[in-house]
Amino acid sequence: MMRNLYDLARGTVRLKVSGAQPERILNFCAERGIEFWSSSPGKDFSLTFSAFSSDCAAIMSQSGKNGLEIELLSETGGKKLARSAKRRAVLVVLAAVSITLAAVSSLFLWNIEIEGNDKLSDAQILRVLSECGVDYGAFWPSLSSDEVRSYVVSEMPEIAWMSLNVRSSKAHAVVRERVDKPEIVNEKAPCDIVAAKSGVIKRMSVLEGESAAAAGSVVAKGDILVRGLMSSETGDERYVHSMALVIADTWYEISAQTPLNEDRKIERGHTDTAFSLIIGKKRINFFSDSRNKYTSCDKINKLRYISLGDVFTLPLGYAIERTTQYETKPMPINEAEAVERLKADLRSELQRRIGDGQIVSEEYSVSKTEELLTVTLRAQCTENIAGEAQYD
Amino acid sequence: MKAKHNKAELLADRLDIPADALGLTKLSLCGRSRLLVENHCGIISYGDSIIEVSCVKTKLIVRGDKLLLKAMTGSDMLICGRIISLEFE
Repeated sequence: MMRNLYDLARGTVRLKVSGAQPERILNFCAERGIEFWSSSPGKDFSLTFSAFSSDCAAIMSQSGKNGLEIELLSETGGKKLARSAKRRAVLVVLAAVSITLAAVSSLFLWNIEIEGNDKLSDAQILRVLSECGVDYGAFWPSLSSDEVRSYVVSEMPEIAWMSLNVRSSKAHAVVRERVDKPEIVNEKAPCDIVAAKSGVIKRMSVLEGESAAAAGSVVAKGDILVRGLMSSETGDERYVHSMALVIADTWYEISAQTPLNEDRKIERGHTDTAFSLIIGKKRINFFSDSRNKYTSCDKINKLRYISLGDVFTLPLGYAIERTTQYETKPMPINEAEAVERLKADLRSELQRRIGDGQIVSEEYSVSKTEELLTVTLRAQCTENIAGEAQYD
Repeated sequence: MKAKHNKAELLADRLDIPADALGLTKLSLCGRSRLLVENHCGIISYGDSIIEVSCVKTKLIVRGDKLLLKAMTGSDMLICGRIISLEFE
């Protein structure tokens, strides 16, 4: 493509040489350093080839010499292009202005993308970025990626690391949020081990402390399983940080409900479309009233900047705001789907409660009243019920 | 002339330098579709099926199909197409 543009800018000619030995013109070109290409021999002692317009005069000077006749078949680009451009001066000026504007606008930021944020919102990061100069319309060559990173990391302790990459008028900020410190357990502080949940102990492994329960014992939530106060044969007592693994059978009964009727949106057919033109930071609305006309409506905003792939983004765009009015109407739910959904929710809730424990058996029951559908999960699980209880 | 040519080749052999450095024609054939002729003395005839090239004290005849003179300078020449044979006269 660049080669074609280069040829177009320099201008090319297609020449036909005829005579007894048309090859002589190729030798002439080669000796003079005249570049030629696409040479193809003809059947009637002729030869056609292409050369640059600037070399045309030198080649044409050989016409009539050595029995050679040179004919200009066609001319493209170069001076011919300039001549036709003169006739379309306004078009050329407009094209030049557009290219200049695109080139100049690429030095300013018109699109900022943020990636990698989970806890922090885009708006929070954008606000801090704008404080250090990374804002819409900012002159990006004056920005320093290191300075921006230092500023953002110092201003937002939730961010551990940030990288700002600017490509043309598009800034791409990649952030890594700080991982919260895990809770540090003081393993020397004396404590008891108590039952975190009610159940029947299946087995106990006491690593530190004095056992207060045994396998097969029925324990309620809060019962002491291992004491941190240990006595010795000499009569002395000492406090230790109790540690134990207490595996017990536990039982759960969890219920979830859903109404048998739910409100559903029904479009009423009134859709309003509002158009806005965006030039830089300014927004020109082509509508008079931006207030909500309807009490219940959906609003869909579409914002587009004129851009050429990821390379150029112009400070010119449009926004379309589509408002659709709807009304809500109570409709009966699909009961089978609702039961399945509630079962899945209950199971995930049970899994959350038992953590690393295992579900031994589970049973679901469904009941229905006039308004509510209730699903109940009864499950038997095996899990570690040991929980630390610090001494005051 | 022949003696002089032989002298150039002899000198290249004795001094252990490439013969093309002394002005002798060098041919580089890439597959059977690209032929680079260095140190040529001009083109004698040009056709689809035959290209005759003047070389130092000899004439190179390239026979083939759809032969095309891709590029040419005062010393080098690139011939493309389906080359069938190379002959010297």
